[in-house]
This record gives sequence, structure tokens and C-alpha cells, in this order.
Amino acid sequence: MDALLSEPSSEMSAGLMTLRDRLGRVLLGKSEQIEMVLACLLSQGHLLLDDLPGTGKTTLAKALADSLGGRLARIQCTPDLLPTDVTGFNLFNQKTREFEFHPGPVFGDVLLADELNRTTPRTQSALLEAMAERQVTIDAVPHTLSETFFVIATQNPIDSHGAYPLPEAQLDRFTIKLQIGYPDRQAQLGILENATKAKDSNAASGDVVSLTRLRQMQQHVQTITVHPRVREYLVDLVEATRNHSAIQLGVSPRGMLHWQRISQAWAALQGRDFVTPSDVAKVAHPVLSVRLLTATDDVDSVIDQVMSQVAAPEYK
Amino acid sequence: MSTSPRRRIEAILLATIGILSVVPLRIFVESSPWLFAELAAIAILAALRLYAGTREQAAGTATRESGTARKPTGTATKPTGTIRKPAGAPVQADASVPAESAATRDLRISFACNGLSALLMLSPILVAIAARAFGAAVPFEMTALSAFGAAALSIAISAKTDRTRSMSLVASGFLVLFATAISDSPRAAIIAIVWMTGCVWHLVANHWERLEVCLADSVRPTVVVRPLTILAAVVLCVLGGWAAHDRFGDSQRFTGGFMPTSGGSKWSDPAARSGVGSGDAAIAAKDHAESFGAVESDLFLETTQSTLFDMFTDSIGEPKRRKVKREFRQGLAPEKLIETHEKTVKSEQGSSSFTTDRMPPKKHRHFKDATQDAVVQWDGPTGIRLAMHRYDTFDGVQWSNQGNHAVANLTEQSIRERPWFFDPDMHDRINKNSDSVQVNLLKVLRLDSTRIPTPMMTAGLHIKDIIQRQFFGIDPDGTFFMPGREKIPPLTVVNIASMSVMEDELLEQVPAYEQLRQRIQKIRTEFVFDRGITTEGDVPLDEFIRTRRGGDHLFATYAAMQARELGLRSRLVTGFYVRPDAFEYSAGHANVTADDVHVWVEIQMDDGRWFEIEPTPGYLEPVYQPSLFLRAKRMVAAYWLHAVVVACVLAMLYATRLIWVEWLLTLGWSLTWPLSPKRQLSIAMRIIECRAGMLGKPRPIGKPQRDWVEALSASDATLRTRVAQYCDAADRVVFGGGRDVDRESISRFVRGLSSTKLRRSLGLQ
Repeated sequence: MDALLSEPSSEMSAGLMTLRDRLGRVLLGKSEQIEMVLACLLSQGHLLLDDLPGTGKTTLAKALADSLGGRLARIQCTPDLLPTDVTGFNLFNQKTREFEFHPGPVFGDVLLADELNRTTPRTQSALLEAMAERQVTIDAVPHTLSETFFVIATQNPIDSHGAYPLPEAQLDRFTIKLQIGYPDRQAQLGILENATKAKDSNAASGDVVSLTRLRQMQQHVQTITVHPRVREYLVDLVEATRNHSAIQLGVSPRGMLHWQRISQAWAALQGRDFVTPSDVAKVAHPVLSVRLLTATDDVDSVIDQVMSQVAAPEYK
Repeated sequence: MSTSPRRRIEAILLATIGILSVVPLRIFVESSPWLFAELAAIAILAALRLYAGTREQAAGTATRESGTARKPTGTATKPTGTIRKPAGAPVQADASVPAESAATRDLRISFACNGLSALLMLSPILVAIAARAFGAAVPFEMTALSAFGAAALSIAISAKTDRTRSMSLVASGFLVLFATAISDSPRAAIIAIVWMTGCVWHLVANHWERLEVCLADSVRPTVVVRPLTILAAVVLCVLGGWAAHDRFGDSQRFTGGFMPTSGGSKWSDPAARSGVGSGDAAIAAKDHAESFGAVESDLFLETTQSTLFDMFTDSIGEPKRRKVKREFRQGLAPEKLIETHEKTVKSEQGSSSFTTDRMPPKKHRHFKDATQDAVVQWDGPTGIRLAMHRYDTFDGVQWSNQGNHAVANLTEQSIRERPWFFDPDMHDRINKNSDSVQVNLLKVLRLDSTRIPTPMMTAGLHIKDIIQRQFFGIDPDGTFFMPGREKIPPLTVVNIASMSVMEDELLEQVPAYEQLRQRIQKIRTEFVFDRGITTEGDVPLDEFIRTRRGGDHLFATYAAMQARELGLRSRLVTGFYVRPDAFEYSAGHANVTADDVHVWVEIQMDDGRWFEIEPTPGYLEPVYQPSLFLRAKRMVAAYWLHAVVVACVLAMLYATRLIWVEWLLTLGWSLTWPLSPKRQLSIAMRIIECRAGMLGKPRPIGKPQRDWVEALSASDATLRTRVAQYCDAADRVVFGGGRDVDRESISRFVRGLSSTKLRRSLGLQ
């Protein structure tokens, strides 16, 4: 821990560089999104990938889960998925005459919930406690989840037929929402080229960051300094979202905490041990787009409005 | 630094009471805006000093702590509890400044503290100087008292030991007791009681424990009077005595007033509070014009009242006895007497003529302590003339009145339930143009005349409770008077409504106004005013023109003749001049004495009104305000070339603003080296923002500065590195608690993002 504090950048970068490379190879030309995903991971937050089909959401999620040592659990969300399919259940063992607990996928270290908006709100809600408190309560017995429990959910915004939009309570538990978007021309050429190569199974697998290491890094992120003026800036921004006329639901205090945490993580990824107003502004879009409930569909322009209203702290 | 916050606050409060105790003495007799300005100045300076004090303490704490192991946040706030302000935030931020610059900053703060303390002590004096410069004088002794209070406050705030603080107590205590002692109001004692209560509490609370443990024999004097202090005091006394040694002979007993500005028999300070020697009755009645009533005093005895004729005899000289020209005569029967001869005799008896052929006035013996005998008192503008007699005909030596402006029945009008009596000619004008009317008060004290001294263009009169119009009339010469009595009853207060006239109207209504002005100026500059001159010949005016010396009656006569030469109708006016320095601020009126008799001229305008001119040097000319339009016209006429040049220069400065603003910014930047790194960083960013603002593309407030400059420098690789270096440093210092900054790298940043570069980056080229 001390080593981490004294030499944050080099220590951090060792594992992170490899992770960055790995994800960069999987998702070509999307270094910004990859950086944001890493920030989300370091901030102990959960990630919602929201984009058109075939843009690489699941690939990215899988690559990330693979790269972290630990158990990867995956749920393919369908309308008939039940809460117990997610959390686990107690089964009566005839031999021992006792109830035995069968842990569900949430007890993995990384949970990939694919097409989360295709399952029923009932099942979606099963994730609430797990995401917020890293524990699930089954038959009144709380079970603690992994310390690095990390949810990557994907959803498809276009295909609304047979989809259940995520409730606000659920959305607020995600730290960020990312749109990956179509790759540029160069990246698409690269994708085509990669597809013709023989698959090197070793190259893209194997954990590069151990869970212990990840935990250390997450703890380090918590210690990143946030100057009082930067904190005030955050509060100003949050209050601006609550007072904006086009926003029906502003940022909750939990959302604010997520925002600060991911700003810290972003600062750490830049090799700094303090947060700057730029960090806060940089992560604003992904953080706000997941939790603002706006009157119009164009959330991004509303966020731009909010950001331009609030004066950023100056050098003084 | 054995400062206890409670003791300090108590001392400050007691000093504040001291300052407040002076306020009741001053508030009723002084111009209150200046008094409040002074109090505000004291309050602001005191607040600034308090704030500087917190900074000083905080800095001291921070410096001490930076020497030892610096603890995390929170400790720095501990000892600064003296002031109510939360000092936490700035202290935390300050703790991160390097030790060298902390030392210089400490020096700066303590310099500022001392400067503020001194300024606070001197603030009443400075305000008094400013007030006097602006025409509202503050009495010296009051300034001295206030300065005393300010000193007490200043000491109370800046005292670092209890001994210094007790000096503040002594000062404020003295001030409160003194103010209470000289106050007339019995309620002033309340302030003293409040102060004493506070002081007793303060002493008891701070010294009770010590009193208990003190045994009489264990008390030792803690103050050793240092020889050096005594020596300094003695030297100071000797120096002070030496500085004033040549004035010892001048010293004399107080003639009446306790303080010089209490008033005086001869010398009058603008801030004088009442006239010494005016008599108790006048002073008792000084506060309100209407308050004159029967006073138990023999001040206004009949015998002291003099007619205007007597006054002229005293001041300008008595008319020469004309040699009786003996002609052959023969007794005639009474029925053959010509009627006009009778009339002439009659008019001479009524003294309705004014001769310019006069003897020099007799020398009067004036006693130093003679009381100032005001003939009338005037509550209104000073530097004006009050007319009593007007003469329109001049025979070469004598002025007399032939015109008939007499009005027996004045127009009556009730204004706010008060009966006013107006000159019918002026009445319409007044109603048409009520903005130019002003009402002033005249108190007639000892004037033996039925004529009422009135300023020019007087339209009407009002005397309280007089509702019958036959009390007033207008004399054939155009002067208001009270018919049917011997004189205006003493102590009468007359409300006089007079019109003012704009210079525009004069230009319009007086054909040769400009020439007239030039001639009057000529007379005023080329002739010498001297009432003591003796004329030899029979025609004094000729002599006056030749010697260019004479009394105001000759000035006025000459000016009247000059006006007639220009084809204007003129008339001679005698009456009083209200000296500008005769105004007593506290009493709210000017004393017009017998010495103030004066002669001047009135000129008629085309519409029949008469305006006055002042040919005699030494007397203020009447003020005819030009309208804004006229003033602007004159200004343009006088300064159009300057205006064009200035406009051109401004236009050129505006056109080249980028160049010289850039130059100023560069110069400004080069002067920032002594500042702390944080300030330098901040100023560097301000410079860039200023440049962008000049180009019309300021930074959007929601955009963090780093993002903004990075976007600006995106196209240039070298610049990008410089900007990144600067931003890294700035982020580290401002948000990350870093300290070290390379000034060169900031300079590179400031030079790099020059106006030209910015223009290109912002896409303006």
C-alpha cells in the first residue's frame, strides 16, 4: 500500500498498460471509451454499455472480464429469467437434511449481464442490492459478494420491442453509461484484417491484473485528493442538474459520490494524485447520461448546457 | 502574544462606545453626510484591520508549524479563534506556500496591519481635511475628539499585550467622560454609565483572580519607568515648546468661546458653532429661524437700531453739505409759491435721493470684544444682495427715483394654507415657472425702516399669521415695504420668494448682454475699490473715472452709466450684501451687519424684469446659471479642436488596442516575479484569457481552464508541450498542494499563447 502511495504512476501503470493494450486490441480505435471503462473499474463502479447491436459491447465486456483474474459470471438476460437465477437459492439436501446454498452468478468477481433490458423489472431489481451494497440477502440471510464485484451490463437502445427499460433506481446504481459508437474507417479496416488472421488463443486470454492488485488500485483511487474548490464545483454542477428546467430528475447524492469517485479514478489514470476540474468535466457526460431523466431525448445537449452554466474553478 | 479574544473584543466595544459618545455632540450641528462618511471610514478601516489581524495570526501560525512537522489539515484553525470569521479555508490553502515566500508575505501582512492601524487613527483628520476642501467644515476640536476615539479603537484592535490594551481603555474612558462633561443633554450620562459598566466588567473579569491572590506586601511594581522613555518625553516637550516659542507672546485669555471654532467676535471659522458675543438670546434662538420671540435681554434696544441712511453714513460716508448757493431773492406772497418747489423739499426730507458726493466715513473705534450687531439675519444663499432702495434718475451727482412701480394691492395666494402676497407682475411668472422659485427667510432684527431687504426678482412675501394684504405694498421705486408703520417690527421673520434667472434668458432678453459683461469685467479689474477716498471736486464721478479709485456708490453709478451707454435701462440699488463668510452653519443663517451696506446696479430685461450686476471688485457677482445646452454649446465652441484630437487619439488607441494591450500584458507579466508561484500561475492564465477576450472569444465559464487552453494549442506541437507543462504545474499547485514552479515554464506559456497565436487558434484569420 505504501509503495502504491509513493510511486503511484509507475506501479499503477504496470498492470494497467497491459490491460489497456488488451482492450485496445479487442476494440479498435476506441481508446477514449477504453480509458473510461478502466476509470469505472478503478472507481469500484458498475458499467452500462448502451449501443447498437454489433458495435462490440459484449466483446469488450468479455475481454475485460477475461483480463481480470477471478470468476467471470455471465447472464444472458431473457424475459423468463428469474431473480433466483441471478442471486442463487437455498436447496434442501435430502442426504444431509439441511438447506444448502447454491450461489448464483452474482457471486462471481465480474458479472456480465448481457441485454439487461430484455429481462423483467423483477429480475432487474434482484441486482439492486448486489450493485449498491455488494451483498445479497436470500431467505433473510445476507451473503457478501466479492470485494471487486463489478457489473458490466449491456443494453440495446433501438430494439425496444419486448424490452423493459431499466428503472431509475437501477440506473442510478451504475456509475457510467458508455456509447461505443461505430469505429472509424481505419479501425474498420483493422477489424476486417484481424478477422482473416488465425486466432492466437494465448494472446487474448489470461489475466493481466490480479484481483488483489485491482483491489489495491481501487483503494489507492480512494485516497486521491479532491481540493475543496473542486468539491464545490461538483456540488455546483449537481445542483445545476437539479435546477435545470429540461431535467426532470437531477443527480442524487449517490450519483454525486459516483461522480467524485470516478473523477478520482480518472485522475489516477492520468498519473496524478489529485483531481482537477478538467477530470470532473471529462467524466461528466458518461456519469450524467446514465442518471439524468430529461424531457427531451437529446440528453447530451442538456448536459452540455449544464456544464456551460457552471463556472469551473480557476487557477488562483 | 498573550491575547485573549474576550479581552480584545471588550476593549474594542468600549472604544466603539467612546467613538459613539462624540456622535450626539456632532450630529445636530454638522453636515451629517460628512459625519457619516467619517464613521463609515472608521468602521471600514477597523473591519479591514480586524481582517488583516486574522491573516497575520494565521500566517504566524502557519510559519511556526511549517518549521516543525506539518500536521494534516485542521490544526491551523486552532489558535485563530479571536475573530468570528471562519478562517479555516484560507489557512489551509496558505499552509502550502514555500517558507521563503511565507516570510516575505508575513512581512507584507504586518506592514499592511501597521499601515491600517495608522490610517484608522488618522481617518477623522483625513475626513476633516476632505470635508473642509469640499466646503463643509468640521470643527477642529470635534475632529480631535473623533481622532482620539479612532486611536482608542486602533489600539484596541492591534494591541498584543494587556498593557497596550489598557492604553485603549484610558483613551476611550477619557473620551467618554469628556464628551459627557461638555454635553448639554442630561441623557449623555447614559453613555458614560454604559461605558463604565462595561469597563468595570472588563476589569473585574480580567483581574479578579489576580486580586484574590495578591497580598498587599507581595505586590511589586511591574512597570519600571525606563530612563529612555523619560528622556524621549522630555525631548518631545522641549521640541514642541521650541516649535511654538515665537507665539508665546500672542497668547491671551479666552475672550468668550472655549474653542476657536466655537465662534468669535472677529474671526469666523466656517465650522463655527455659534457666535461668541452675539449674546445669549441670539444663541438660544440660533437653531430655528422662527424661534425668535421676546427674549429677556436688552440686546435689541431701540437705540441700537439704525436706519439705512445712518449705516451708509457710517460705512460710505455722510453726504457733503452742499454749499448754499446764495441768489438774490425776494419775499413773495404765499399764493405765488410754485407747487413743484414744495415737492422737492418734501422729497428731500424723505431721503428718497442718494448722492454720490460723499465724505469719507469716520473712523470708528471698534472694541475687540464688541458684539456683532446683526441688522438682519438671512437664511438663504450667501454672496447675494438684499435691496432696500432703488433710484433711476441721475443728475450728475444725485440719484433719485422718478419711476412709479408702486403697487398698493398685492395678489394674494394661499400656498399650503399660508397666505402669500405677490407682486402682480411676477405672480404669473411664478406660477408658470415654479422651478426657478426659491424661498428664503429673513429676520429683521434692528432695522429702522419699513422697507424689507429683498433679493433681486423678489416675487412675493409671507409673514406668519399675517393675512391682510394692506400690511404689504410696493414702493414707487419697486421695493417691498410695509406701509402704515414706522418700521418693520423687530424679530419679524419674513419668507421671501424670489426667482432665479438663467443666463440663457439674459442672452435672449438683454440686447447687449455680452458687451455689458465685458464692460463690467473691465470696471471690476481696472478700478480700485476704496471707500476712504476724499473727492475734491463737485462731480465725484469724473474724479472716479480719472483716479480709478472710489467707493462702491461710484462703481455702481459708473456701471449704470455704462449700461445706459449701451442702450439699457439701469438703476442704482442700495441695500445689504450678504457676505459668503457671514454664514453660521450651526445657526443656519447669515448675519448681515451694518458694515455690509452696499450699492449696486440693476438692469432691465426686455420683459420688464430687473436683474442685478455687481461692478465692485471684492463682492461676488450674481450667479446666472447657464442651461446645460448653453454650457455644452460654449464647451464645444471652446474645445472642439481638442475634442476632435481626443476622439482621434481614442479611435487610434482603439484600433491599435491589440498591440498596446499586448504590450501592457507583457510588461505586466514581467513585473510579477516577486509574487507567489500561485499568483504567478493565476496571472499567467488571466493574461491568456484577457487576450482571448480582446479578440472577442473569451473562455466559456463552464469550460475548465486547462481544457480551454489545451483546445487552443491543439494544432501546434511545441505549444502543446508548453501548455501541458504549464497546466500540469498549475494543477499541481492549485489543486494538488504542490509548491515548486519553474517561472521560465510559465513565461514560455505566456509568450507562446500570444495574441497572434490565439487569433490563429480561434480561427479568426
